[in-house]
Amino acid sequence: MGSASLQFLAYAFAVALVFNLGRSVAWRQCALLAASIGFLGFFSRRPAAFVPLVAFLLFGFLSLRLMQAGATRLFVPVLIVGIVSFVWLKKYAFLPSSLFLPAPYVTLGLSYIFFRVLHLIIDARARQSTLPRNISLVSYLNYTLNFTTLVAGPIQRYNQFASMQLAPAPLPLNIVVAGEALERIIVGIFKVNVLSLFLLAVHTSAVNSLASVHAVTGRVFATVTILAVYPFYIYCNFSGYIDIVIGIARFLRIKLPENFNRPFSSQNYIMFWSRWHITLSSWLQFYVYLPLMLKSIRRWPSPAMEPFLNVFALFVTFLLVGLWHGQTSEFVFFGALLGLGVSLTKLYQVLMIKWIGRERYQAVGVNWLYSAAARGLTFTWCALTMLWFWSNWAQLGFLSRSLGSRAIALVWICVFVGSSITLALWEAAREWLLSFQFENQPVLSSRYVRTAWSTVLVITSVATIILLNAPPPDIVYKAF
Amino acid sequence: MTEPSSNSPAGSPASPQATLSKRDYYLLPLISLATILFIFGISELLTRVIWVEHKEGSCTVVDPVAGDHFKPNCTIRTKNAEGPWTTYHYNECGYRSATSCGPKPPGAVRIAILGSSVSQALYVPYEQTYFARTAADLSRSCNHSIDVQNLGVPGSSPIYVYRRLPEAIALKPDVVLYLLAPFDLEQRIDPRELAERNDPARNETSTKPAVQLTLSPMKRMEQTLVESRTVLVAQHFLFQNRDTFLGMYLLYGDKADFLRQPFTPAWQQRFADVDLIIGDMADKLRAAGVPLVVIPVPSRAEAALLSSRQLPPNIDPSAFGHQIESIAANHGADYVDLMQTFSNIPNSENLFYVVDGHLTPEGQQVIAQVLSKKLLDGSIPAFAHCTPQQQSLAREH
Repeated sequence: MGSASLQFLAYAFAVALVFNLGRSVAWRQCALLAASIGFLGFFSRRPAAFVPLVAFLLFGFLSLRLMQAGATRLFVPVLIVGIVSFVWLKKYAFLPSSLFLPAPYVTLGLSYIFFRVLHLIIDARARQSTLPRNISLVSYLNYTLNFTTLVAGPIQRYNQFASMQLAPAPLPLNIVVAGEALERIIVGIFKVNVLSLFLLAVHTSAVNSLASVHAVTGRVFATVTILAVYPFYIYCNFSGYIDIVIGIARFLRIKLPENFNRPFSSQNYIMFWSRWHITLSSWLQFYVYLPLMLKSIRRWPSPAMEPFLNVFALFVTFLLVGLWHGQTSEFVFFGALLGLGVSLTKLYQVLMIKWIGRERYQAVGVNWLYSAAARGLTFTWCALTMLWFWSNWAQLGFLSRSLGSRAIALVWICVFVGSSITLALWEAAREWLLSFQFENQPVLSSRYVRTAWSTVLVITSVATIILLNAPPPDIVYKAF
Repeated sequence: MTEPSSNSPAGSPASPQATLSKRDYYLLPLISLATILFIFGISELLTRVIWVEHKEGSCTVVDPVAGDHFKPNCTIRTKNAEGPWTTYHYNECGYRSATSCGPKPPGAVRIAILGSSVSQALYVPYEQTYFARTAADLSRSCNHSIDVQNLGVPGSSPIYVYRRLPEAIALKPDVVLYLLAPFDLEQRIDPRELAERNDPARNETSTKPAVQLTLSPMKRMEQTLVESRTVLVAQHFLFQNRDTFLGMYLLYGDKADFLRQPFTPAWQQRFADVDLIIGDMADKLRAAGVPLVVIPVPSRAEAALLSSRQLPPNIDPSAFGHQIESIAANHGADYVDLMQTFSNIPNSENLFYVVDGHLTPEGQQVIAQVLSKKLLDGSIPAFAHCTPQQQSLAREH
């Protein structure tokens, strides 16, 4: 079942219908669990294929119980076993392949289950834990396996999930909420089935054209297209899917956290990561960056060192973000680039504040030319890092050889200038469109305009699905 | 690319407009409907520009009694949205033929073709039609000219085809071909017309104007939608997928029952009617010393099923063809088995216009090859002198 397919939507709406037949906690718990198990059933018909996933879930539950029972001595071993099991089950390339299980098994959603399990174990161990004392197996399974967030997140915290799923009175679901949830699903379907499909086609065609185009200008144009299109493609694909599941979850009376917030409007790379895959970066900020900072400051308690420790902690955190995305050496490099991006940004901020002062630095930040260049630079770095996200060393080698150093420089200048201008124009257009107000609200956000817009998106999506007659594009983050 | 979080607050804690005003219950669906109509209008406009269609039949003489026919010496250029521009020229008898319908030229072999749109090779330029290709093949193989008189008229039911048989016999052909497809039998023949098929009074051309049917507004709206270019284009792409096409086609009841085994009583009756007509045709042609070749032409659905590896239960794509072949054989007529040929062609449904369902020029070529082979197999006296070497040459061409 494709994650953004009509079958998935039909399944989700059938689940929502059954889910809303009863209001009791027991009914909601049973309905969600059955739906999540049923959803997993679409990915394999061999029960044996689920054994590793079930084992990992059981390990998580037992570890949670151990921590809640006060066995904090076992915290580090449990954490190590959890991480090693994840790395082993995900078949990370640095492990010898002879160690891996020979039979195929389901790892769908394992990465996101891993984050949820670690969050539970770590929080359960904390002295002032806010987690409830006795998390039942059903609640645990519903939290870790929730079919709306299983494939590609977002990563929700347990307490937030439980405050809705286990509340005696479920979240209201009136016509306005249902309409807004539906609108969100429509936007998601449009992003995944129309925009991302179109952008992927452009990207693939540009990649293929590299082999046949011999003129340098043609190659430069193709490479600029490849670099500029991919971030938009991945954004539409991933954020579209998140829109869909946020909308669906709302019909199950659950509010999922936002995962994207106009990332391409970011003026620096740290801001970008606070607006892109928000739940992942905030998870890592909470469970990696902050503990690392605390430990470092305790180890080197010098105020002068603090900014540099911050830079180091950011690098480590984002190196892990990269490593989480994939099992090969390309992803190690990807992580290193992410780390370099955020740590250099931090270092630049530290040095600028030191040299020109906080106020002048902030004043520079609002200058339109500086803003446009900063957005362009952020986008360009994002496009660069994503080269290691979708390609491999052989493809990168071919790209580099076929262009040569001068053409490569020209490509990056084109991406930087082009993205600076395009994003600046986009921001200006957005601001202008939002300036049309009615009753102190932008006309664009009025219910009537949104209804018309949603209708356009539905028709466009349906027409595209019919006309292209192709299976829906898969969600890139499903693989992680 | 607007960020939905900013204007679609499904995930936000509190919505600024938590309730709908009473007017919104009417207004929002109306806005949605108006948007749909607007987009539909725009897309209809665009698809009409890109997918041009011109089907005016100014050469057609509508005759509800004797059946439609074409004006003599008339030429018209039309276009099906899915096909190329096609010029139809009708000779002095109103037949789609490149030659005169007068006395057969000395040394020529004349083929008369009866049937409906499939026989006429609708939406296919003359030189690419199965009969023009067959004539060229036969001419090369037999070293004499082949004169084809195509009496096919789109929409002709078997009873109208039968009424034109005297015309065909008057041409003194060496062979008569009758092509029929499942959709030629969709409309049940009026039992009275069938019973009076040999009454000469029925064959007179009507001078009365055709009865104009008045459609209800709902029916008119439905017809507008079905005939819209946007729907046609959508169907064109949708039905390119064999599974989707078959899935939707098999939802039809009676229309698709010729594929289901055993045949329903309605289809058994249709076959019984055709049996009477082919029987009479064979008798009359035998009396005139002209062989009859019946050619059941598969529909797109049959072709898609013939190319499928797995058939749905109780579905037999060859059933229609075999039934017609059996009727032909019972009356001593010859037949051409196209079912086997189509089952050997991968994705043979691509030989048809996707929505319209008629054969494309490529499909015409397949028919031409099989027909040439059949006519050269020695069973038709007019082609008996064509040698096997010449036959193989014909196949190569």
